Amino acid sequence: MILSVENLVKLYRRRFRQTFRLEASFTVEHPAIVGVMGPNGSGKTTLFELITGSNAPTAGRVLCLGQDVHRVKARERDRLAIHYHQSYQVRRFARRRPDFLLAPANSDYPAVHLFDEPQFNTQDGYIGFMLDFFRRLRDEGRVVFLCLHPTERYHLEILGEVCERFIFVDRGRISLHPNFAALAADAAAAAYLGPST
Amino acid sequence: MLATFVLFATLPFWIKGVGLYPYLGVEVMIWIVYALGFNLLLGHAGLPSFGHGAYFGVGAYAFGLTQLHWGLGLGGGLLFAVLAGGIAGALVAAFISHRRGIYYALLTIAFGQIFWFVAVKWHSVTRGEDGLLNIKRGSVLGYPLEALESLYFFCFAVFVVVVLLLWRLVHSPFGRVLSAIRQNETRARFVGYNVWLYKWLAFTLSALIAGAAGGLLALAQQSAYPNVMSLHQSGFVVMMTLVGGGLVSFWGPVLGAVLFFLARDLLGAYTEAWLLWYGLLFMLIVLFKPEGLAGLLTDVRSRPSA
Amino acid sequence: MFEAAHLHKRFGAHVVLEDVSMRFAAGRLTGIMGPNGAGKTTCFNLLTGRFAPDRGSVRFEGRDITGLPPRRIARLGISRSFQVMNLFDDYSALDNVLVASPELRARGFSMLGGLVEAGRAGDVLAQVGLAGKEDVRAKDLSYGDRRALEIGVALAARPRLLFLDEPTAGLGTEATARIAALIAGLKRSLTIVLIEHDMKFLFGLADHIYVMHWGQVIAQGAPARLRANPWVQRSNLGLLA
Repeated sequence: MILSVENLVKLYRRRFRQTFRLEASFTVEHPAIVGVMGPNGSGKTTLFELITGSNAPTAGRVLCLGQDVHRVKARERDRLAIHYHQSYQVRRFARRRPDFLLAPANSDYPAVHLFDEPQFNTQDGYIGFMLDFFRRLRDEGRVVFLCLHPTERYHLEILGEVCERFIFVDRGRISLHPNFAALAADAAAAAYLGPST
Repeated sequence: MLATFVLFATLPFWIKGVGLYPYLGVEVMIWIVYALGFNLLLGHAGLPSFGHGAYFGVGAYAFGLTQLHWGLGLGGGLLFAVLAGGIAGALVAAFISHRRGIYYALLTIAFGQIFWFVAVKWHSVTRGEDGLLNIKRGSVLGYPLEALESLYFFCFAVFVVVVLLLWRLVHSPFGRVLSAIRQNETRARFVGYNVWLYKWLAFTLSALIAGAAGGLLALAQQSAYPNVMSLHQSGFVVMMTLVGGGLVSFWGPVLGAVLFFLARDLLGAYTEAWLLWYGLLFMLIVLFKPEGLAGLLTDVRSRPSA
Repeated sequence: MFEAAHLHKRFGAHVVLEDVSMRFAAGRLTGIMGPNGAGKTTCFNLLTGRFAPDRGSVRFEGRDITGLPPRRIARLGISRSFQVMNLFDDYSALDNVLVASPELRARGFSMLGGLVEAGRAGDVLAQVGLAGKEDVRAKDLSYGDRRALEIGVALAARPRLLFLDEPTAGLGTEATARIAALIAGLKRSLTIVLIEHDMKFLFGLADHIYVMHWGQVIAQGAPARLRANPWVQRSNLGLLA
């Protein structure tokens, strides 16, 4: 079991009114490349933040290599899961207790890599290297999440080429799909992907 | 260089003629030595020290103590002053040489204040605010330095030696490297220089020379007071160096020191507030001609003669 | 010849290196490329001693040099140039090279001695195409000449391994060609590591290329192999091939 997201809930409130609610519960048992899609504001980035421990959940927990990410020293959390927003690693971590009360990470190298909207540009040729890199991480036994908001035709091509399973996030709820066809069959996802599929 | 030496060598013979007095020449030479040593640090190595009076004062006290209590004689006393200044500088430099820029400057102020505070409070050794009085001048080669002329030429000899040594130093490989570190400390590191050691050495040498100047000062005024160690008086040497143009020329501090004392005596004859006017001049120069008087002279000389 | 294994580095906010391993073979030109912010320069800074890595090791000719200060690494025969130019601005071009030479370094503590012969420094200047500009102050040189001098200062130490950090940054086509010719000439006698984000430039010169992104090595190989990637074929670069 590499990653286990257990009954995770994140609530955002403004003056006692709930403005956003994210719920997630899923597991990734084996190395894989997982595509993550969903409309803007649906909670994709929040989900990534919860997985890496840069955002604290309202309820539930995230186990990475069997270790509760939110109970690991903040500065060692990126040895379990690492989150890149575009080109840079996200390095703010939320913690309710000081580091010395938290556990050290049991791993030296992150088992979960989350790539949040990496900048793909067909002109410069880096795409091929990036995709090969995702495959290499998977072959080394890690889990790769690739979050992409398909605005261009080739974005779907990339997702179809490299991703083995999909998570669709819509208004704080997630649904799992074993392959692209299953994703496209989902009504909400189909509406999101548009007629291009 | 020759012009400077000739000027000071003949000074006792004409200075009364222009309405001044030979002791002024002694004072000016002492401060030139001090300022040239200071400029090794500020102008050549680019390290701002705003507490340099400390080493000047340490030299003065060291000389005074040897003359009052230990009877080391003139040569031994001056040597001790140089060593004391150097050791004090070496110790401080060990704590600050990993810094640069404003942090370096602030640390030099902090250490300078410590020395000043000790000088004021350590009454049993330094006599506090009263200072060490009645320091004997001794004699050289049978000439008692109580005579102003002998004192003058003794100081002149030390002055010549220090100027020659510093001139050589600035144009040696060591001087080259110091200037390189001022221009680009990072690159100096990456071409293999031990930047820390060079900065440490520059500070130590500079303090050594300040110690020598301090020893001469105690010799000349036959006393040593804590006031030369104050932040205020440490500022004088910075002003002399900058006004004269130490950043662009070896001779900058010489010009600066001469101008400072002329301002003191000439302006001082008219107004108590001469330092205010000198301060204004300092501000004008920093604002409009940061290269100082030496920079101004270079500009005039390099202007194509129309 | 030079080997970095499992380097990790974390700085406050964003800059990171994550498990970077590289080898530079003797006599070869190795390229490092990647988009802005990929960690290329951070990587150089770790390899040349500006920062110590949090984890991992750096070895040069079998010797562990992890965490050594820059001056020690420089003295082992490793030189570097900088992307943001680091020259001795008030010195003439010749003095820039002279100060960086081992002859002056060896006599750096000589306080009363004379300067060293400038002979070899002149050769270095000629090598980087600055013959005739010996006496021009570094700050008065044109941008392209400053770029050349930046390499000259690195060469002055007669390194066995030369790190060049984006030597063509900000240069036009013509000046870039001049630097490329210079590097191609150096390649015959030196081991070179070159950071460059212009793939075209690098594919023409390098024997081996590391592609960095997100502070990691995402791909490596000979230019021909990297170029065979279907997505590279589809890019501008593929069209040019």
